[in-house]
Amino acid sequence: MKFAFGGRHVRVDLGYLFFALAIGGWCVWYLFDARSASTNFQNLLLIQPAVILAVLLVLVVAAGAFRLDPAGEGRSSGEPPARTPDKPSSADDRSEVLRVFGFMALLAVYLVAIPYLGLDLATFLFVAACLLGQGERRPHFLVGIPLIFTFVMVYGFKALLPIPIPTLFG
Amino acid sequence: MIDFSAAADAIGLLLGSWEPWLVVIPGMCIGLLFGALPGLGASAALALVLPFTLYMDFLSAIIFMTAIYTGNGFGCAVPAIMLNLPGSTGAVATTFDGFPMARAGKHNEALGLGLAASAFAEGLGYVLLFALVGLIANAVLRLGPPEMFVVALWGLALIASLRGDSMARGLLAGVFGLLLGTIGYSARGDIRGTMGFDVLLDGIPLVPALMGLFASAELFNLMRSDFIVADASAREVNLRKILSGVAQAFRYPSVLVKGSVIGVVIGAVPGVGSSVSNLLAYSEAKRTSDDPESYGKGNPRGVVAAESANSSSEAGSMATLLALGIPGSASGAVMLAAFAMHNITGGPRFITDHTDLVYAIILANFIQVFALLFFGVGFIYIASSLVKIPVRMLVPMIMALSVLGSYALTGNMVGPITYFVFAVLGWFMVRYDYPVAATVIGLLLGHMVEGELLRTYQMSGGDLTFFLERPIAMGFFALFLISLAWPIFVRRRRASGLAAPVSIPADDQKT
Repeated sequence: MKFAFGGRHVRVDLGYLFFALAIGGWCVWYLFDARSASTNFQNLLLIQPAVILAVLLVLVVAAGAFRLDPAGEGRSSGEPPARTPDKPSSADDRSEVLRVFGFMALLAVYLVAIPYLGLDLATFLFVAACLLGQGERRPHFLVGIPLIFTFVMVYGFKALLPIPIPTLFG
Repeated sequence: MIDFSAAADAIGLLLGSWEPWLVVIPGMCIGLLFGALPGLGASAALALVLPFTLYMDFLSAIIFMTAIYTGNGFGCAVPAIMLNLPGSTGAVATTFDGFPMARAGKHNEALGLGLAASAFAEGLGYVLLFALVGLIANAVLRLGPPEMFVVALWGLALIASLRGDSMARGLLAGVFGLLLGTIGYSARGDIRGTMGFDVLLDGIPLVPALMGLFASAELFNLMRSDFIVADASAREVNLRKILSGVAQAFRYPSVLVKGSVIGVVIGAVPGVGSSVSNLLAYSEAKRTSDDPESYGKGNPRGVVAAESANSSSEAGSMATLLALGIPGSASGAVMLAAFAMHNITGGPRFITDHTDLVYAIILANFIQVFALLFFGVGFIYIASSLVKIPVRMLVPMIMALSVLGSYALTGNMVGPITYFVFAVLGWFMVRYDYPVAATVIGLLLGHMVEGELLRTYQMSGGDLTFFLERPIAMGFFALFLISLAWPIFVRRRRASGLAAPVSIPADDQKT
């Protein structure tokens, strides 16, 4: 995002700013939660100074999101600092970010499904869906790989570990 | 220092029966396998075999367990290097340069480096333990709450300042992790930050959080690639290259020795151990390097420093276990349970009454070093094949494996949910260039830091001059301040050394 201030262009990296503020927000919430548990000095001995330090650091970090842009042009908004070619922060391509969010959603659905479908069926479907999402179209791969993986890993864990592993089959 | 008569008895014990040697190979293989599978760490492996040790004599049981420990120490390096997935807290720093090496097609060499560093450090660690077991135990007894508190802060500062270009973000990540680490019951019984979830009363499950923070961002990122190693010709599994990696490790003797010594010393501190030692050794190697910028981009010295420290930590933790009866980690606690099953109590009396047995355990570990080298090379040969699997198949399988491993660790859905939450957090942290390692170390040490600070407060009555009476704490505090000031000093020195008109890149202007 760009805006003019005193005749000069200022660029704001909104994603960078919001993430820093989110960390700061959580820290402040945590302090209030700890205070609601007890205002005893010993309960807040570490937390209170740590949160104050965190808030100060958030202010310093967040200030980095605002940059003077004398030329009035530059990087697109939302682009994080210190980019390197092998980091997701280099992905100014929105579709790349959406793709990551898509896989995060798939992972969330997998976790939600485990108590209902069992680790075996949920794992099979998750691996198959990920393969499909990443462009795998060969049916024997779409079925075979998740099947072998599920059989070896889920039932392997089940045989090895003394804790109950929820499965639909076996 | 060394009781030579007891040492001779120890050799007699080891050579007098074939039984202790029978358990080394199975133990090593179990350790390697459990180390390489995220979520199945040394403590899980040791807990699984614990019932079987009841049918062995005490020496065989402990040798079996230390063989698992030894194999596990290196096994964790395999997913750390190949997949950026540290299966244990001790393998965190291995990912920093190990994974960039793997991505550059140097996976064979990186694994060879890790193996050689692990084996060397393990051997050196046990040499130090053999000579100094009593001294180490006495030194650890001198560390009280103030010293432990400052040691933990020092470790945190070292990691937060690793990224010299963004000190504020590093410190924020560290403090954020520290606060996350205090979630749950406080040392005096107050409940904080659980949002009403009883499962968080004991704090955030550490290993699932760690897997999420470290691995997920890289996994989401990897989806853009076809293979971990882009160059098809570099994807080969090559014994010659593995062995050249093994040989290469010995070209950095100072990194090896420093990492090993840091590992033994920090490993002897209960509750800290390999979690901190690998990061500390990495940080020290980077700090003293002529080319610190190359660290994090595939510098073999980084792998050597991290692996030597986490492997020699085993010897350090054995020192406190044998000499004081204090387990330094979950694995140590399982070993202590094995002691109890054989009606043996670790501690100063154990050392004095059974010196021959202590020496026999240490000497058996020397032999394990060679076994690790032999089996490790074979294990690497199989594990290196991971780079041949297309990323579209690898990523969902690693994610599912992480979920399974997280479930195995907690025994319920808390582990997988923690993994997911921290996976998302990790992705955002990497995207906005926060050092994830600083958050991890804060998370690991949060509870300990708060507990030690509380005990320090109770001891001192809130009087800061109390620290003046604690020279060891003051020494560590000086190191803490130096660690914070060092990156600033280096940056200024570098800036003054540069020609005046050089402009600062836009990105660097941000904090």
